[in-house]
Amino acid sequence: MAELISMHGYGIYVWSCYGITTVLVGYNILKPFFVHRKAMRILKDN
Amino acid sequence: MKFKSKILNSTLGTIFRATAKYLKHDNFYVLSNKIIKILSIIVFPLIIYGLIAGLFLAPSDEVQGDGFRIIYVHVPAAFLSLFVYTNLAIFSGIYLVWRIKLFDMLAKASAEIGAVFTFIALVTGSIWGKPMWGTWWIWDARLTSELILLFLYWGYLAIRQSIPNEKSAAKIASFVAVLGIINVPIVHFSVNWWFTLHQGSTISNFTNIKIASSMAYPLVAMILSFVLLYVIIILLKVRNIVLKNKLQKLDLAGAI
Repeated sequence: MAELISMHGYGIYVWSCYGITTVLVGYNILKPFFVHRKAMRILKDN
Repeated sequence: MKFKSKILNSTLGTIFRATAKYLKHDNFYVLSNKIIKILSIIVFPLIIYGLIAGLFLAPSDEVQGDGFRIIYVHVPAAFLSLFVYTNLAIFSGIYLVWRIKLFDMLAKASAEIGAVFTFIALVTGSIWGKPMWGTWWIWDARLTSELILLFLYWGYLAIRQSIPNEKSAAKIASFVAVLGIINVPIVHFSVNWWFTLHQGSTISNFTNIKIASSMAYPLVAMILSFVLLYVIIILLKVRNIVLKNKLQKLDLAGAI
């Protein structure tokens, strides 16, 4: 497990790249998804 | 007149009529809901395979060690930065010629997510550069042209934000997007045209892959996943614009 995280010294670089990508792409999927849900709720209520 | 009716009665005419139906915002909304559902089912296993195979199953690189695993996010993001810009220019060009509002909506959504992919490509490339080149950044032809691409995306979005008249903003931004396409071949061929620190293309076409298949398959899976994610994201964004327009008609747009 420790070897998997450290990746022979490259872990800090590799995991930070995957972390940044996950956060940015995830935000861009989730934000419009929740905006859509909110808009649908407003449309239904009116 | 006869020529026009000949075209409309041909196979091309049938295809045109079937496609034109979806240019209406309500029809496009229904279609995008279906596409989002189908693509989400496909992208999920594909990205899981790409991540597991890229991070854990692919062997370490002889020269770069485990640091090479960054390519499974860097290369797809860099590919998407160019692919999305090409789409942005095409959508903008169509909007400029035929003034079809849907293509302007697709262009705006593409610019937003294209800027994100370009930013990811630059940041992950920079993080990769530190252990491999010994520096975070160098004014290399590939890196500089990719940075200019990010400024083109930001410029397009800044124009749309700064001009209050939506139609004028769309026209000017579309014009800038079409002009900016000149940078796409510069980014792509920069490693061939100039002596650069950045390595050449790993996959220039799918018949000439320069890495072992155990490393290449996850890379192809990740590139396909990113393309599908891009389609999902622009459809999510465009269907929200359609809904927002509906809410505006009901005077409720301020609620979201």
